[in-house]
Amino acid sequence: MWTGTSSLTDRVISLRMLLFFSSALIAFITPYLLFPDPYAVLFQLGNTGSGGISRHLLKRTDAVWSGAIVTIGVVCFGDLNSPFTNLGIKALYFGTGTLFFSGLMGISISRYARSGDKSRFWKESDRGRELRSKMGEYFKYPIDPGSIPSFINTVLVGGLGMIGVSIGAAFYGGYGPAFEMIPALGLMLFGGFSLSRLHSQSVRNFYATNAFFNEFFGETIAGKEAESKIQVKQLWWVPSAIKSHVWALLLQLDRKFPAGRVLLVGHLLIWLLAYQRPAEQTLISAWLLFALFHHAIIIISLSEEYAPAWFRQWIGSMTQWILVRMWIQLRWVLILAVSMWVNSLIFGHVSYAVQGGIITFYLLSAAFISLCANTYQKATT
Amino acid sequence: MIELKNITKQFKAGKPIFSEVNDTFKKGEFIGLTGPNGSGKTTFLRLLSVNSFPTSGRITYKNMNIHENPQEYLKDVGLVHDQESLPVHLSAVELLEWVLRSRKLWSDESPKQINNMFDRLSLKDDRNEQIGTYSTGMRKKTQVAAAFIVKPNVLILDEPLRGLDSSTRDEVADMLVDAKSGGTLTLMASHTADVEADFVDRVLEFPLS
Repeated sequence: MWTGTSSLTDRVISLRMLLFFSSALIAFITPYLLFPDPYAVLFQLGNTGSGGISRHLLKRTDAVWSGAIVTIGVVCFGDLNSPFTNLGIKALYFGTGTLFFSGLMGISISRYARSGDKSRFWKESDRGRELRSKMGEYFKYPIDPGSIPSFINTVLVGGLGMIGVSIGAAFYGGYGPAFEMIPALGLMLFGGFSLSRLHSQSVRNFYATNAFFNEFFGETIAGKEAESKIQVKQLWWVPSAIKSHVWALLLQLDRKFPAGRVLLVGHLLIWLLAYQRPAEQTLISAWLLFALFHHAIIIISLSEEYAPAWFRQWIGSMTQWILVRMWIQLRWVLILAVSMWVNSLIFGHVSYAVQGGIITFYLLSAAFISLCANTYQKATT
Repeated sequence: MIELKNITKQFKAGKPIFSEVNDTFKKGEFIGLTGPNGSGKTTFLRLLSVNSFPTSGRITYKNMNIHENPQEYLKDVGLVHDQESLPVHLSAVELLEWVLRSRKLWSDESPKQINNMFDRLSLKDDRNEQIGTYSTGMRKKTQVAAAFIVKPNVLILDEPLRGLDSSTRDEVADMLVDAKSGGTLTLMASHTADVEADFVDRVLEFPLS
């Protein structure tokens, strides 16, 4: 795990872990960063061209990209013991991380921004309706065919990044550090190519995809969904003062995106990692990053579409909303604790004390992120 | 019930929307707000709904400064906002359940009460669809229902009849009369002749002089 006094090897391992989990984050969060776009009306008024829209799409992901590059820089260069040694190797890995993240982000933006037409076809066509009825027979919960292109993008982008990290580590083992940059270069080239494809049709794609995400409301509430949706009485673990808010937010979040399935994939990835018997520090880092990854849900819940500013003020206080966003994260904590416990029983990596520490970190980080997120939301609306 | 003391609001220094406004709104009173676009009606209602703060002066409700105690004040307020923004992934029925539960007003009778409200407003089967799929008029009906279901002491309504069909407008007018007879203070902004209706006690002409 990275600290200010880590060795160069630890830094490299930390960077790989960071890129590995960033792949999942990019794959998951990109559509929520881009669509629905509140500036679409302005683009219509100004009849903005492909250059303007392409630049705008990149700018919408600025905050995540900048944060990632700063983090990569800190992991590579944040060396308290010997800040000026191995500068060449540190710069090489900083370049690798930057190319990797930027390339994968480019691929993700391009794929999601072009997904509108296909998503609408599956959602609105007769073929989509047939598929929905067939899938409804096999699955407990209704699956909207319109979400299938997004799901495929999530798997492809996330998988591409994770495979890239693995191939880079294999190159490092076989040929040395410089060769670890090859997959990152490949991703950057592919990302550039994808964005140039998007650029040529960005206006058409932007309107098509934005329209789809504006109209994406999943299945109606009547019928099967009414039986499976979360009920207030099930929320025995929520204080009564915030129960109604937690219920309404969970209900909407569940309709908007399949958080449970995404987190299940995260658990499977960590189990896959544990199966390879990495160093204890590596696995602890993975659990900590995964714990943090859960809280992307808090950021997504800030969207006005779940509770507009006037409505939030009408029915709740700032303190309540901070507690609500922290509490919605508690529903994953038991699954996290059990997964970690069973994993450690089988693979024997993480002690009970450390498991307790990771759960404490999960709870404290949920509280901290909720506090920051609500403060930011209050200041900007 | 609500008292305005020397209220001034300006977005830029030296350019007040209105200044030094003093007024008192009493229980059961129906105040109509009228005037051209940009004359300050919505800003006035936003101040009263604590979505905006005065540049100077204070507004009190039962001797309590509403901008210092927003949650305490809003417990007694029903709102129809100028925009039709609502949580889009809930149905209208679920939204009203949320509102009632968060105000500790939920009871076994509430589902029936909600359905009666939507029957009255002619929001038929769509009441169980997600709000994101609604038309402007359907969203307005949902907002009106959310404002009335809590049986508020104060109703703040910004263009509540905009986008509604004529039969629903009549129904909302009946609801307003019922609320007034129950002692609810109502402030309603409108561009149309609604503010000339019989139940309007007083009309505030904007811009306020």
